[in-house]
Amino acid sequence: MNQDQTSAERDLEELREAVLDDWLTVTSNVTDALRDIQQTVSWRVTRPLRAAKTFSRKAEEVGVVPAGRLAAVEVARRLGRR
Amino acid sequence: MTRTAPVTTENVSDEIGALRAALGARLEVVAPALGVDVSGLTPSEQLDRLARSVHASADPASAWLLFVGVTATFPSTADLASLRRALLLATPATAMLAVLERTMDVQSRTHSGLRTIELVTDTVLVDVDFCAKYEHNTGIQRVVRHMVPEWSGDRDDRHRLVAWNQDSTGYRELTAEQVDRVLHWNDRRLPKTDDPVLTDADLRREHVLVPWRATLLVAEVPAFHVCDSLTSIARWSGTAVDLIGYDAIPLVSADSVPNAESERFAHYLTIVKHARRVYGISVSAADEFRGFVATLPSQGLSGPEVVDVTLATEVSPVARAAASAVTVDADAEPVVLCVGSHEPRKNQDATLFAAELLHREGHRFRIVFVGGGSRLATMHFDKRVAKLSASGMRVESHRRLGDSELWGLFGVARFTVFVSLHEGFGLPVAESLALGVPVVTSDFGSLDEIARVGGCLQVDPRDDTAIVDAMRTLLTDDAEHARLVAEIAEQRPKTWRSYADEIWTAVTA
Repeated sequence: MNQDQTSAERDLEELREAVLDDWLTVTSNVTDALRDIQQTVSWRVTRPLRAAKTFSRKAEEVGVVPAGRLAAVEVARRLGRR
Repeated sequence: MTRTAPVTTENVSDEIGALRAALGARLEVVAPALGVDVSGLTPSEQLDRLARSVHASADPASAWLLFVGVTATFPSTADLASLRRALLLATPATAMLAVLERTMDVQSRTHSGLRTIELVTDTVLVDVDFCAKYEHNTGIQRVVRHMVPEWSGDRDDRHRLVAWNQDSTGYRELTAEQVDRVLHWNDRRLPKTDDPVLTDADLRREHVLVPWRATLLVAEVPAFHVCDSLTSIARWSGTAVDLIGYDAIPLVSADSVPNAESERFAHYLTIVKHARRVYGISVSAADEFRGFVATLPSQGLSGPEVVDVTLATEVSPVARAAASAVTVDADAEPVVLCVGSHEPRKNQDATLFAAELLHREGHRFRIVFVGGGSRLATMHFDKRVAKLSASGMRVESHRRLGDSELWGLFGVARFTVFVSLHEGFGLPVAESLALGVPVVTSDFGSLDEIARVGGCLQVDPRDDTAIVDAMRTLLTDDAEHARLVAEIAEQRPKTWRSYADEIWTAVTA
């Protein structure tokens, strides 16, 4: 009985480890999937539209000048990543 | 084009190993707060034990903290409700699965897996997000930049300034430049520079400050996109959230502000519902919040306590020095000053109309409008100013004037005009009085609270004729002008130290 229990606990622990690994892998892989999407032509050609929409939303929240600064920071951030 | 390293078994495994280690480190931080011993356990064992504990307790604050520990982000109200329900449906053995399932979406979107966290307990966290990030200094920012520095020194170890991180998913410490922007606005220690540019790699490794059984003072009106996370903190985390209540103008005078402001404020009110206390900056502002709180029983809520903590009325020594430094030319035409951001409720159109009428009557004076505003709000006004100026009237409108130039104008002004239709306080009136300059202002609300102590001619701001009459009086009646100046000389302005002390005492009570 004790041996069975130990074995079951070990199985359970392995299962937990596997589940956590899967969770970490999946959440991490979404980053890669997003990166792939961002390489597509459709994503790139619609980029100005999304940027304008984001800027418009930001300008409504914090005003045009701060939104301009945020946009500049974002551009610098993206350039800095390359 | 973005270049990424090819995905191989080796680097994926390294990545997962790093994520696993970071998760374990975060769970070690939250475990003692949840009363769980996880020493010597692997991350999956830690998570299993913590999930079982939170499942057993059904305590919302514990669920909130576990969410933060797993994702290094502050949950929205919907995310937390989803986790709590999943835990209630789970068994002890499946509690860990419920946690992983309900945090997967957030973890995938925010890429916060490598972040570290720190619990901030028994401390007052002060959210100064906007002041920390922007070189902008009108009403709310002036209050924050006067009040918070007063807590430096003996209260340094009892409060902590925080701002939202770049993806608005949690709090972080201010950078040195941001501290300078908040604490040393009038006496900058560092050169004015843009905030450091964070790369994606930096963002993934941020250090998140987590309020836990603490007090959070939201010193500004927060941005729309953090209102839900703040509501979640106020409602579930066990941290008491206090707010400075500036006014309810975006909602109760929605006709005078852009629609986005009203929408943002409506969401801000959701935080108010679950806050502990609101400190109204005037009796009028507090009354507006009390009015909102009075509606909450219909939602089964009691709402926060609303307290009057009236703002300070003094100006800084820097302002006083700048105003005193200018020389008044006795032969020059008298200067009339109108300070305030340009928006319909500030009623600058009525002031300009009154000035034009007085100019046509033959009175000679120079009127100066100071204050920024959107192109939409200022376009017609500026055209009118240009036309009147071309016709020989001495009228100016400055949209971007520095602080020292503004204080200099107070130094030469015969009187100021601030006939706003709706204010939370009315700093331009307080500042004018503090600098010894009489004011024409409105006869109700917060402006009446400031003006009734003397030094002002009060008018109905919706009555153009009354504004004209008051301005004419102060242009022509030296005895009346002198009487108001004498009234001002008797006043003892409330100091920022006093205001900051009142807020601190209330927040730490």
